[in-house]
Amino acid sequence: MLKNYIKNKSAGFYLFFISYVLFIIGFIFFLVDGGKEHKLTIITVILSVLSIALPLIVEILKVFKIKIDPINLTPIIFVTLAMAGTVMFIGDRVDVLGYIFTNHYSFTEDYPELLVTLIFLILSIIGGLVTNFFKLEDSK
Amino acid sequence: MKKLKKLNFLWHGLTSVFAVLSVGVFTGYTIANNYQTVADQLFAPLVSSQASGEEAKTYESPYENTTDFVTDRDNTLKQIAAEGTVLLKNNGTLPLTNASNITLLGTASHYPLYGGNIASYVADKAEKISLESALSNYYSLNQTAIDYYQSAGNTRSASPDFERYNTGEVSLNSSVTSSFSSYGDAAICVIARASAEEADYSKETIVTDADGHEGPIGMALSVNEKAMLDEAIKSFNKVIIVLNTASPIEIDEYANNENVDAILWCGYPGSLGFESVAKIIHGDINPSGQLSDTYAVNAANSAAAQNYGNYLFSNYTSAISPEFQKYADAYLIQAEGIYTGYKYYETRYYDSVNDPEGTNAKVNKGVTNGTTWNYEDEVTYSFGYGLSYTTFSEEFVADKEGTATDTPVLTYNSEDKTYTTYVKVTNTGDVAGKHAVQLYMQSPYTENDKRDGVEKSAVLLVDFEKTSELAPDASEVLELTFEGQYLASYNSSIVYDDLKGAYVLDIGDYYFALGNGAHDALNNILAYQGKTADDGMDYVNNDFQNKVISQEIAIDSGDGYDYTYVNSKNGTRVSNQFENADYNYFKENAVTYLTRSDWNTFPEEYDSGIEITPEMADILENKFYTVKTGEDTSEYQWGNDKGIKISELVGLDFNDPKWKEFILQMDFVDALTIILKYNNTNDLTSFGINKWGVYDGPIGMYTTLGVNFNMNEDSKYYVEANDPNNGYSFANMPCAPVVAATFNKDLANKEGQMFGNDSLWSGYSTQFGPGNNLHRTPYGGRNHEYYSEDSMLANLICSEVTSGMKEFGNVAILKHFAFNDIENNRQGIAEFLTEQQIRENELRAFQGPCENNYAGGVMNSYSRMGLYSGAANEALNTIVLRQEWDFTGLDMTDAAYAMYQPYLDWITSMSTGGTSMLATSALWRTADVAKQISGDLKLMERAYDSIHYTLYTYANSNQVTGATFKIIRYWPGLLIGLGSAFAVLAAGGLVLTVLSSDIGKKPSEEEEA
Repeated sequence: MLKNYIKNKSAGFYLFFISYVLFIIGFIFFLVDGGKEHKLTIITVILSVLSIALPLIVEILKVFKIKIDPINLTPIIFVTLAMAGTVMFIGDRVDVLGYIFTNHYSFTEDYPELLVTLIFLILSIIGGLVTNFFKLEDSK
Repeated sequence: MKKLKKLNFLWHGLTSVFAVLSVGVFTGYTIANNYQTVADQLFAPLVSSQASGEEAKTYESPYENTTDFVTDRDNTLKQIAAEGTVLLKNNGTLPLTNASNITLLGTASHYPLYGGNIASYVADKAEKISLESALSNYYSLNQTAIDYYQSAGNTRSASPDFERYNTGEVSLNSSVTSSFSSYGDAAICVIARASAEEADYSKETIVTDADGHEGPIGMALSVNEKAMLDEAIKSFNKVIIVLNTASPIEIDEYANNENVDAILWCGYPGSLGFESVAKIIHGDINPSGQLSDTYAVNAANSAAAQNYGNYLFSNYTSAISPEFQKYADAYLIQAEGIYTGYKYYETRYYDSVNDPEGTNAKVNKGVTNGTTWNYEDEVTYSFGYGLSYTTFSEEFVADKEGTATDTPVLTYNSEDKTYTTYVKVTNTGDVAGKHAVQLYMQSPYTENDKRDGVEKSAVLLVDFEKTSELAPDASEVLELTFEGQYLASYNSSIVYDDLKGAYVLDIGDYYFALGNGAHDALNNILAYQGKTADDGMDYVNNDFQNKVISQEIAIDSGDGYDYTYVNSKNGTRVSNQFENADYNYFKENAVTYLTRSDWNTFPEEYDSGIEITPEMADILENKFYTVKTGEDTSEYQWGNDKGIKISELVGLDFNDPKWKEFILQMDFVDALTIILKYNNTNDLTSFGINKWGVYDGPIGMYTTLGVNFNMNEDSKYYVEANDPNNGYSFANMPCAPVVAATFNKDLANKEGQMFGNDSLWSGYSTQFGPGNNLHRTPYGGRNHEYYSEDSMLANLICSEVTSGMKEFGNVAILKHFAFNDIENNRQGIAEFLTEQQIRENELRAFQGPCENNYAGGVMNSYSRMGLYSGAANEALNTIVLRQEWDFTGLDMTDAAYAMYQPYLDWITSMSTGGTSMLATSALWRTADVAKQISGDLKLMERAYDSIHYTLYTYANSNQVTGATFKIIRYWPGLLIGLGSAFAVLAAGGLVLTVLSSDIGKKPSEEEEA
């Protein structure tokens, strides 16, 4: 089943997969950072969970031959939700970012989780955007 | 269509890009809205249409053009630096007239400090004159040394550090030392120490040279600094040391070295002040500054320094969150009581002369050398000390005409409870100069005091005045008038009129003495009392008889007290309010405070084992006010618009009923913005209230002349783009200790006037400054921002500065009310103090500018007095500030980055008397807050009062009578437009994506399979 599933996947799919994994890692760090700072805004969590859940559901249904996304809008929705979640995440941390950029705190020493989270989330969004310029599957 | 399909991947990609951009912009817009104040600062141009008609006359700058203004301002700056520079030692080498080729040594000679770091930073844009360039007007300087320091670079730490500090002093190499012979007329060695917000020196600081030398030497000289001075002493016949530091450093070894010819302290002299320092060195200016702090031999041996460090409660774990923990777990026990600065050194000296056995004054505690305490081993230069190139005589006289008298007195004016005396000053030398007369007082230390735990400094500054420039043999009679209330001591044990605690005068002999500093005045008192060198005095002035008045000023009420000053000036009975600021209030006898009745009580270090009780934890966590619901607040009917504009309120008394009519016109939610969002008045424009222009800046607002906010070309404050002074930086004045060291009230007032003119010319009505806390120890990283270790010097100087500011409608917000005594852990640190210390030390410094309503506001300290923070302290903000002092200004928090400072919240602030949150975010939403307040009468009253105080301040500032100041906010529209455009493009991309997709196409066989 898995062999069938991946046999016609193209570069876009693998790029999307990498972006997706990067976002999940970023989200895990986000939870760690949010836990540390007690700053887990529910809307940010919902947006992030949706962006993770949607591609997963779409792909799982594909395995069961249920195709709900005939024109591959999933990567667009994913990266849009990821962007919204990331900006909200940053918005929840404007104060501390202000402190960091005014040299009161250090990214690397005081907020390493925040730094790592941002790196993963931003890489994921960049990857997601690039993904959308490629086909996910080879057409026969 | 086929071509469209071919580009499917492109439409797909572009759709995602535009969708992401659109979402990013819209989400960003939501966030920016939450941080509107910050976003406005970054992205919204500020414009003012400064008034040009009659209304501009209420506060009007006397300068007709920028050149006149800037010239006077720069001259004021240089004059403060000239009169604030203190000559500490001179064997006749200064002025340096017979020298032409000199060598400047010390990294700081090439990289001087003009100001402190962060809020009192001299603006980068400010024109600066370095000591090097100023001296080059008079002397040929050793270029090899200059080049060496230039190539070595500046490695000095920008801020103090509890753990490590690099003086940046580099080792001298042979190329430099071999150049000395060509520039050998004199060496001028500069030593500097940085000062900064959020940073302190520690008494255990490891000082690290650029070369890596280390030593646990606190405020002492580093290895390389000493090596540099030793090299200078070895190589030059004339060695002059310049101290470029806000806090006193330990210089005793070189003060006592006969090969060091002269020492000058110049503090941080501002952008142009080194010109004055150079003129003093050259002799063009005769120095007249007096020290605003004591120079100790070893700062770590003061009573206050015993408790200065990073101390955490032994058993506190925040029930709120780990994040909250760091705002509540630190403490500082100020076991020295009132004995900070000279009050400690001079009182111990007095007791060591007067009654060494009975008081144990010479006991081996706080001792620098040997096993016995001796004043000369502990103090290098006393508070108030300073030399001149000439000499002056001073004596009490009978009247303004200078009539000599053998029995001088203080005249009491019962109407305003002031005392007046006259002092004749004569220049007895051969150089013209100014002289500051310092008047000190000694009140009796009685058996009642010992019984009640009242402490008395053996000598206290009560007033000072400065002469004009006196030619040789010229005289001037100065009138010194001071308030009698400052002679009283606070007795927290006495019960009077059913209330505990009162300001009282003890019955006994009071001595008023003149002197070159606190020590000199005390020696005059001691000599007057019959003490001699045989008793242990370090010297006796021959003319002490003319410099002391002994007078009974207190009238016994029958119990050994005079109760003249039990009420404050407005008639409020002053009684105990801060009993719970003493740790002993919670744990009896846990702390032993220093008492001069037995110097064995010299403070121990309370560095561990300090516990808190559950009751204390609740206060630390702000659990002392619960918002009520359902109370009747109908007295406050908001939104009753009668068309009254704020301009109609200008000049009305604070209690005029029209204020209530005016305030209740507003929509309550809109009005709350000025409390909850950093004095944000944007939503109140329909009442004639404009954007409130506020800038930080204890040494001048951190802005420039001619920024693009003055759009009214008819206004006299309109600055043309090609104006030669366009871009002149206001943040350039000398640091506060230099201003204090001038001991010149008129000059301090002139500085305030300059700040006031800054305000008029810039359109910003409100200035966060000056700072007015005390220098508890030399280790305080913020000392550069505060005037002195002495409360009366700070009181009188700050009163003058703020009075000058008020003259031009500039709202002075005093930092940091109160007891910001340490920067480390400052956010939430619990400082335990006695009521007497609170009232006679730091609050006395704030009392003058606040009680006279010269200041337009106070900014609360982050720290706690006891367990209540400056922003949540009813005793401080309501009882003292409003009731005792009748203060009508703002009472705002320091910057409240709310989510990271959870101990600062509007409920505790408003319920205890604060007027506004200096909040940078919209954490507190006005609609929610309005809902909560609507059922709580106390909060409703306090909210109303806050708005009243705030708008009263606004109405009486140049904000309302000078500039109409508003913000041009393009960014919301820009963001919405941009986000919408991206959304449209994304939608278009989506349509093309769908059209170019295979949707509807019959699946291939393979896909079917």
